[in-house]
Amino acid sequence: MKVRVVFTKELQLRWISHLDLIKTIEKALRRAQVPLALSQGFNPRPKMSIAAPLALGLSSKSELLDFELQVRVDLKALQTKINEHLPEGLEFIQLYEVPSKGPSLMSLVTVSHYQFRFFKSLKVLELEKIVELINQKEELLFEVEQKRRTRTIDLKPGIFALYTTDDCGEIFLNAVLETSSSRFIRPNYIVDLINEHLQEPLELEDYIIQREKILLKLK
Amino acid sequence: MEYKILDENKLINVNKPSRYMGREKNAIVKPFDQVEVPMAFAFPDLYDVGMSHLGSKILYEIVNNLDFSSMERVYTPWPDFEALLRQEGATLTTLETQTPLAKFPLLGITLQYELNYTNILTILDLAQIPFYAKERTQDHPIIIGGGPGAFNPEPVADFFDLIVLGDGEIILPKLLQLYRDLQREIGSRPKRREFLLKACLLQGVYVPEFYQPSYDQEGILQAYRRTEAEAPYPVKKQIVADLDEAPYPETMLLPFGEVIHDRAMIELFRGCTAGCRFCQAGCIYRPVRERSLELLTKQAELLIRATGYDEVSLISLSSMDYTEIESLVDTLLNRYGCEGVGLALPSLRVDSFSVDLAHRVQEVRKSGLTLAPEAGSQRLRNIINKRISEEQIIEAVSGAFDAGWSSLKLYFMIGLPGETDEDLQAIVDMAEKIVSIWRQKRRKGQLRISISVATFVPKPHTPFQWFGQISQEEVERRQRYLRSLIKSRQISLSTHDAKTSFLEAVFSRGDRRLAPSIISAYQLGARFDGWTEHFRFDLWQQSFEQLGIDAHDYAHREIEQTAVLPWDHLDSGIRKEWLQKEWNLAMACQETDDCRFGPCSLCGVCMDYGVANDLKGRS
Ligand code: SF4
Ligand code: SF4
Repeated sequence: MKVRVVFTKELQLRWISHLDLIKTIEKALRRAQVPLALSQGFNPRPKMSIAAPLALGLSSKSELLDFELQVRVDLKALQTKINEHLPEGLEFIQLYEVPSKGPSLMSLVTVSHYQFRFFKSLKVLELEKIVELINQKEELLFEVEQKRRTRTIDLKPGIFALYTTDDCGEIFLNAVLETSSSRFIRPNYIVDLINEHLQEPLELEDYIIQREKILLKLK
Repeated sequence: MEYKILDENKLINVNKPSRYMGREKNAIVKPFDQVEVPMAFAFPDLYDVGMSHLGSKILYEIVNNLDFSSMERVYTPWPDFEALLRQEGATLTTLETQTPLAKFPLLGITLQYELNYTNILTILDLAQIPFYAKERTQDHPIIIGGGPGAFNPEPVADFFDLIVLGDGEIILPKLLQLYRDLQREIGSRPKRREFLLKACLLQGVYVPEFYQPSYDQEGILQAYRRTEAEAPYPVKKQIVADLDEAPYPETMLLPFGEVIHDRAMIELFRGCTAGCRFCQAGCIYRPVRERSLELLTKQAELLIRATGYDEVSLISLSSMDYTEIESLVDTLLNRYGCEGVGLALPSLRVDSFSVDLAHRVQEVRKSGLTLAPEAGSQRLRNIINKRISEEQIIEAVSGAFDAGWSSLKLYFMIGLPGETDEDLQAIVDMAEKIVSIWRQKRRKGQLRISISVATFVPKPHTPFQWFGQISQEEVERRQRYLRSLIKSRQISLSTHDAKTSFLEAVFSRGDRRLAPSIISAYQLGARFDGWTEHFRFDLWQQSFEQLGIDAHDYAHREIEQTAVLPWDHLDSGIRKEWLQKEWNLAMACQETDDCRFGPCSLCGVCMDYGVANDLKGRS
């Protein structure tokens, strides 16, 4: 039985890497004595995959994970049991069955919605103006490092939306970005774009990015 | 005093922030202000190393189980995190409650390895605590040392208020209780001197300031003089007589990230009486005390359920010598093999029994096989009392090939007493012989033999404590010589850095006059000296030179058997006459039996401490 999970990675859990996240979940599933299906070979590993890995430092309200079970189980009961064993900041919020022979999780991921929160006071007007400037551009050429080579890519077709929102006077930046295997726009590229317009660029510690939603292709 | 706490968002600037974050599964968080006697515990190495250490995990749970106390952890910040703390002017805090270290009444620091000494200073420095005990005030924590390094702590003794000798799980709760009682009596933190005067009466407690060394005009140690009449001489260690009665962890701190040894650990027994004459652990932890099979299987069950680990490591100094090792392995494999939980046997003996057992364990996992003959020739193995014959080695290796292993790691030591070039030749001969066995067997695949050669470091409380380390030039010559002898391309050789081994020897046999050199090396920038990528020998040379310290003398000198040693006032349980006798037997190439299976060789610990080898499988 193949199960798809929507889960959160928040609070201090944002400080753990993707690899450590997998280990952490694996151990929690073992503690909950989930009958995981294992791979064959000398080093049997649980059959598990996580979609569109989140970089260290980001938090998320919606991550996706697939795992396979040896037997059929009641998913409601499984969810309660697993949540008892997950560390604070990690929670399985939805579980559903998917066809065992279906397409891989990674091939289904299309876009992610990120929200940026700033610790440094940014002037609302200033940020709005910068966002407008970026939105007006026909092309957003951007240098990325790939396999130790710098390559210039156009971010524009991968940015589906970029806008600010206001919550009780606190300003948030929102970005809906393509995160498919053919085009993966990292949210920190957006910060770099904004920094081009700021006198005092944002440092890594001046903001926190949260993934709000991750969307799957409808077949 | 006000302390600045680091803003969590700054962690984005360091590598692996989870090292400094705490809140791991099974971490125990008690509010700092609501605990009568909170204690901080520092492991002076990187988090990844500290979190792999069983002893610390045991203490963590035991102390946290006391209702009046708590234990909060801290590890040495990696240089990137150290730089961040300095840049922000932030103090070092514990992982559990982010409390500044300096605010704790008690701070424990474990002494695992000589080259961690500068890491201790990093912790104190970043916590804004003065290095020397005599410079600290009533408001600073009382600093407690422990661990194997407690048996020659002299180079760092002046940094500690007290040091515990022997099994920590008994002595630490007693110390905490004593502190609590004094605190209740007077209604505030006890005066440090009053506490130390009472503490030194507990068996296993050493208060360095109560023992002052004197030297003659040539700088030779004359004696340790007691400054307090009540202070015992010598200081005896603390021993758990029956390990089944000792508290053991039922859960286990679980790191988020992958650490060095990321698996559940159960301790089969403590102590080892195999009697290898270079081995300090084999002396200071005597006698052998086993846990019962029943308790171990119960513990494994608890740990697997509490952690979700898929591997259980069977820990002890020589796990194969556990009297019921076969039943234990079978029971665990039967029970957990189907869940994908494997076993790790960290210390194989060089014989076919061990190889067979390792093979059975590997049915779940596959990895290389490691054996430690330690010396190449029979003569030298007799000298060091590694009681294995060439025949046994050959048998073990053939067995390994038959079982399907094609990659072997062999551990040896150079610079042992009585070693000649012929003994080095014997190391390579043994490896070549193994290659020819492989050829005879005509097995498929590529054979790989990795010879790993360490350099002998004389250790206090061992029969070889008097013997000096060979010079760096000689170490390097022997390493080159070994390399020149290797003919087969299946054999590879790796050696230990001679400078690292030299510094280990300096501090292993060091005395209190070395403390300033640790501080000055630290101030020059020495950090994580046990890590090749950080080790800066030039800083140490500079430090020794500035202070006029003859480091070579500490490492290389052959010490007279009649000399007063900087650890004579610390009793490991082993009598000095026995060490001398063992030295003489070594020089006569004679072996001594393992007292578990043969006669008692009268090392002294059982008589002097009222204990005995406790073999659960025999009773
Ligand atoms: S077997 Fe030898 S080297 Fe190993 S712990 Fe025992 S005495 Fe030490
Ligand atoms: S006193 Fe005898 S039996 Fe006890 S550890 Fe020493 S040699 Fe072994």
